[in-house]
Amino acid sequence: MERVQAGDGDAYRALLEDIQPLIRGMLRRWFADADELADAGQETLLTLHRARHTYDPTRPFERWLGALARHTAADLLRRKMRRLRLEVGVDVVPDLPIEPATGGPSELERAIGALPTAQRDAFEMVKVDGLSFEEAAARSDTTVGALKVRAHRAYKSIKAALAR
Amino acid sequence: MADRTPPRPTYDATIDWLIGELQPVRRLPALGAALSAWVVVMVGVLAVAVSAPRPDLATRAGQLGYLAELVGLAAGTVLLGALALRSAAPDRTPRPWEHALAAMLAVLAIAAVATHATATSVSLVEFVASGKGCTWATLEFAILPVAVLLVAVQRGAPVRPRVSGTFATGAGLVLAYLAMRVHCPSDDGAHLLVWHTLPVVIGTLVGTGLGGRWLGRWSQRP
Repeated sequence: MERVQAGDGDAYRALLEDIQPLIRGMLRRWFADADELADAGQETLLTLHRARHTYDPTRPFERWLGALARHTAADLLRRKMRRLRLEVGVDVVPDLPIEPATGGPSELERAIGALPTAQRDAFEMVKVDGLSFEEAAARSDTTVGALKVRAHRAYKSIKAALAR
Repeated sequence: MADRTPPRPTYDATIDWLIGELQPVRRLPALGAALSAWVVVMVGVLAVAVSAPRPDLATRAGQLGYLAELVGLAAGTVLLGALALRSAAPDRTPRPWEHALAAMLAVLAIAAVATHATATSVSLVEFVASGKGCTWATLEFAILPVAVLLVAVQRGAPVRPRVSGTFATGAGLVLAYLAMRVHCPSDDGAHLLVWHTLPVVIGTLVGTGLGGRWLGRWSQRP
């Protein structure tokens, strides 16, 4: 971690790869769902990146990482609760067109439709609606870094789906 | 038929992105060094207060109750400053029992002010006229130490920004209260509660809100 603070990319890669199981283990008590756990794991890496200057080499690394994981989990759960409170249920589902006027959905639409909700929202806001990362992050109540990662993952998934 | 399921999310993209973003960082100063700097700020503020002391300071300094009050306030200032500085690092965030201890000391301090103070009867006009200057002086004594602590905490990554804001502003304002006990000649209970203690309490609450808005921004950085 000291080498990471000095800007050593190789040490950073080794560290980030090594701590994945540790982070998953720490987060598992809050996130049972695999997708949520993966998202929380990535958020924890982003948090670690932002807070890397606060690590004191004379203190245990696991305790520092645990504090960051707890903070990230609490933050994500708080946002989730806020989102759930804002969602409104409807008694009658509104009528929607089953097929678009031009026929079935395109390959691209199918690829976008197959994405996890968070990734799809991020992709659509940035690539379709043309929002800036800051605007999209504010709209989806997440951080700019997390939104960039979601959009990037969505882009890679769509690219992989279209290549098949 | 080809599998249409998107690939499982992996950490690879995140790791690549983070490594691309990596820059050398300056580590937070060690807690001991930061606390020493805080004590230097404290001494500076108290030196300013002592340069314009209350007229009866020499007499009051010989009284055990007054001395105990000053020592208690100084200890409280160091404690709150240490808690604020600790909260800048995620793994040093003060624990709930330390929050409770700080809150208990605050209640005891207010109770001590109420019980030790003498009572004098003055008109409301006189009470306000003599008091409002003390509130301004308290804020003037507090502004530098509060700013120093908030900036020191903001340089870190406080995981409970409102608590950090409370400790940082609380420390600065208790220091200002201590300075005012050296500077202001009044020992009147109502004067101390309204013009000295109330600004500390209100300022600390403002600091809680300010901390929540400002000290948590590190986690929103791109």
